[in-house]
Amino acid sequence: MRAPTDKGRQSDLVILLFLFALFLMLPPFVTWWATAGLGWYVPYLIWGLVILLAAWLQMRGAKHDV
Amino acid sequence: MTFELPGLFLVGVGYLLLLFLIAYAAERGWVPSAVTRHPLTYVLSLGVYATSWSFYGSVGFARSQGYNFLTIYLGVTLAFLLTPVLLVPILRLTRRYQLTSLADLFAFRYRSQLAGVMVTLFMLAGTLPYIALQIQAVTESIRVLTQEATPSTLALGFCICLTIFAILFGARHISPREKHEGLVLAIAFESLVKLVALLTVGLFAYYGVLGGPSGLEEWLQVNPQAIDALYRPVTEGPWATYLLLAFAAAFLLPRQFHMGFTENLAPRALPVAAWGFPLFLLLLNLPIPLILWAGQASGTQVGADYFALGISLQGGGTWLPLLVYVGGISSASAMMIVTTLALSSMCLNHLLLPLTYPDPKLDVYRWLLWGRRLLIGMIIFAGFVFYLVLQHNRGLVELGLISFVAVAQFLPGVFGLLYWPRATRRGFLAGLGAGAVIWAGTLLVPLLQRAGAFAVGPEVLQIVDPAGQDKWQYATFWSLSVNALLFVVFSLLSRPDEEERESAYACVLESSAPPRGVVTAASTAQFRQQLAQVMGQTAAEHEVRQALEDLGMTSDESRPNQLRRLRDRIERNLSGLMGPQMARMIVDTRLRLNPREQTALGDSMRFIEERLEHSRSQLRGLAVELDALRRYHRQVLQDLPIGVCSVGPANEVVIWNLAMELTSGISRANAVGTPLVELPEPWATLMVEFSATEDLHVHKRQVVIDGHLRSFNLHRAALATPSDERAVGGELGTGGMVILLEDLTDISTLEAELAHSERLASIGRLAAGVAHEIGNPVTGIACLAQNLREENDPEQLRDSVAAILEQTRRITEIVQSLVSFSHSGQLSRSTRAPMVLSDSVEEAIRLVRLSHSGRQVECLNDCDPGLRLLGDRQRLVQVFVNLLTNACHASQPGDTVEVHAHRDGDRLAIEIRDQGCGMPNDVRKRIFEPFFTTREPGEGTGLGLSLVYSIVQDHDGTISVDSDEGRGTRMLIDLPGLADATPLPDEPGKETGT
Repeated sequence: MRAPTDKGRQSDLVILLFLFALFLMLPPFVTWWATAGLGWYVPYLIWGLVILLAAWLQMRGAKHDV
Repeated sequence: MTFELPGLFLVGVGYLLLLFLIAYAAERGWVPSAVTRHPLTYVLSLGVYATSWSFYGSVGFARSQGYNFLTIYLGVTLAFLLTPVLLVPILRLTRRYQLTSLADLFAFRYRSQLAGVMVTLFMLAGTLPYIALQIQAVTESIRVLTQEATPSTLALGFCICLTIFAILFGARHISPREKHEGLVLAIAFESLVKLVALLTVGLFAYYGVLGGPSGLEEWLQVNPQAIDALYRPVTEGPWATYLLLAFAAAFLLPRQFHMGFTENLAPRALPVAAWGFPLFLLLLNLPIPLILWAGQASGTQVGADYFALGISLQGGGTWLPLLVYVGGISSASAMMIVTTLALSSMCLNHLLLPLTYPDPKLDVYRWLLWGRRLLIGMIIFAGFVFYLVLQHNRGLVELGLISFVAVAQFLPGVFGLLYWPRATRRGFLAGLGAGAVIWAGTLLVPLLQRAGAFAVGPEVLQIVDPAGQDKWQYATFWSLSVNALLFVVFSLLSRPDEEERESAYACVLESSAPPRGVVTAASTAQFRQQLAQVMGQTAAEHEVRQALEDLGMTSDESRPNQLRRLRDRIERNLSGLMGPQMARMIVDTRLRLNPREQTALGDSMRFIEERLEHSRSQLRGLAVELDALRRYHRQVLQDLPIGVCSVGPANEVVIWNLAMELTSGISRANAVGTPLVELPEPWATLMVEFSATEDLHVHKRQVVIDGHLRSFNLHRAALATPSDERAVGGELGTGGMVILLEDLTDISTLEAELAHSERLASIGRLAAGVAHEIGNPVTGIACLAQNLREENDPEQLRDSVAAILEQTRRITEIVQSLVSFSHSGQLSRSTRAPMVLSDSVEEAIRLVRLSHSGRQVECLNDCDPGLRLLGDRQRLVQVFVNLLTNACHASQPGDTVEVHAHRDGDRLAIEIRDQGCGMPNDVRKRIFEPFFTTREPGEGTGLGLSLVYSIVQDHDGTISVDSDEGRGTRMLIDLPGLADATPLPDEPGKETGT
């Protein structure tokens, strides 16, 4: 009984992360970080943050699968 | 520093040979499977995405468009974030239906050969510029290293080498399943080489050219426009368009589809790739700004695309330029090999096979193998021609982006495939056609015009978009918008046929009607025979054998539902070999279905259950609750401690629960779908006989299983279909029936042991009487024997001997009765036989007379000697012994106990009447209960009458009691009788006495 709920919740989190990544990678947020005079490595940090969240989500899902 | 051309060529060939060795080692099993199937290997193999464009071109892209170059990888990250809802369903489809390319996937979903052809042609047109890009990158890198113009023959030589290696990697054998461990490992190794090469150049740029952290800081302070040049284009360029294009390319480019889905060795690796692959891309792109700035700082003369080579040459050593060169070769060769393999598979399935299907007399496998090899050569050669046409005209990025816009045209079709069952083939073809035309008009034709392949004139883009909007944004927007619009409009205006609807549901994994029809071929031999007519004998035998192996079936399989599964499996395997359309055509023509024959209910249930299992995670709300309820009901049936076998309308097993499995030893997998008559014996006979009788219940049916006698109660009920309300009232419904099987073997054994104990107890009680009865004749014999010693008269001698014999006969009779009565009576095959009722009564009276109370009461047998019945003599004697003993106990000395019997139709009515004390009402109600006794403790077991009741019931009879206190008791037994003339077996029961 728990499995479908967990899987459904996992899919919801995936969509949420996707929307969050879109928010980070599309205007107006992109315009902000592109014009804020930040260090050259900032796009990589944002990218790394998204990857980190994706890894956390995948490991969480894998744990629930078990 | 410069390098020699032959040396560089040899390094390239040597590197390719190393790759082949790696692939060969993996295929021979020298590399552990844990390595080739490891998620890291899978992630690295996806790195085929990073081609020469990424390796060399990203620096040039960054110079011209700043951080816009990152979109090509950020878009991929976005696509991989959606792995569970986007990529996993595609992987599941490709694995389940053996779909080896995007063209296969679309041809399968939209059930159209034309869809496959269009996708293949468009993919070819879209990918050839990309292949040309790789050739250009390799030749240009050689030019940078040698400082000489690269001859076209070198490019041709590179193409020939790649053709050979592509064949060695992916077309050495024909395989229905595109799983080449060697290729996966080799491509993963190539990605590692690219990464190491680029990171090394990055480190060199950082420390060797820019001077480390402080040097970089200083340089950036002196050149503040460098960072601005990276950020500014982000707000001005087509950032979102590039993101969208990369999102599509992440899984729709032929090489991505091939490595991500077709060559996927371990499905569990895909979720890891959701973050692992973006991480790989991040690491790969981290050095790009550093290499760009290092190139600018060092003042290298090479173009920005080749800054990596330029700065490494300035280092002075030879190993770094060679490492970069090998990294470039890695990028180009991996892309070309995988893309060519993917395209050759598409061309084979959707262009070559429909045009020229091989003669069945030929070896089909060989034909397919050589066809594919030929296509590999042709595709690479076409790429080479494209390279010659475009030579030196365009940057690396432009050629790559043209391909990206092309594959983006498949996005509407993919979303329709995964999420919109209403999408139709007409919608797909209309949308894709329009998208392809706009793509060609806005991007391909202008490219060829500029390259001089067409007569120079106004570019199409300038005609349709004179304002000079960014061409990528313009072409992407219009091609995709028109594509999606036509896709939706044409889909809504047209209706999918049955076949297309079935595929649509298969793709979205929703429940649908199970496949209908039964295969006309009735055996695996007929399967082989039919397939041989289109595939040749060898291929037909191989395919049938392979499918049987996949399903764990044997070649003597003949069950209709299993043959239907075999047909489906063969179709899937052929799909991996020839594409879904060709596979469908072959099985449709050679392994025809008879749609009039109803699909077995068991198959339908299995189909629906499989669907529900697969789409479980997609259920929401009420559907989740209904599914939980279904599971609960199924589990209840499964775990019932009584055997449940449900039979469909076609008399095939639909449900076979755990208790049935344990009792019968037939597994559920083997039983479900099997007609009752085809179950292993003795179950087939048992079930078929029971289902054919009118009785709804059969008690204590005895069956010999593995040499042991087992006893079962069987019950059945007609099942109603939801719309068949007549059956609810108990009439036979059209939904088949449910049979319950109760294993009574243990209970029957226990009952037999109890009855035996009871008989032994009776004998114990009779022991004194037995001694007396035997003692009298023995005394008589002794006296007669003494007299014989002195007797001389022959007449007297004969009389004495006759008297002795008479006395011994009396003893023999007593002993025989005792032995017969005390026989263990273990559960054994039924000993029922025709018998005379009065004989049993007489034997019982004889036994009862041995007891003290029996001797004081006169027992009268008033049964008609002609009354016969079918029964177990020993057990019926026990009935009368128990009843007469009780009657004698209740009687006073000198009373009479009478046994009457008469025929009542086809039944026998037996009455045992005594003149005893009778019994009160509360005792009368309980006398048949086990362990109920009115005697003193130790005098009776309380089992006598309960055994009587059980034995009479076993003989399909009834027993009742009529008693009043002080007026005696009448025990009334009703048993089925036999005709008076029924022949009797010879002397039943005698053999046990001697």
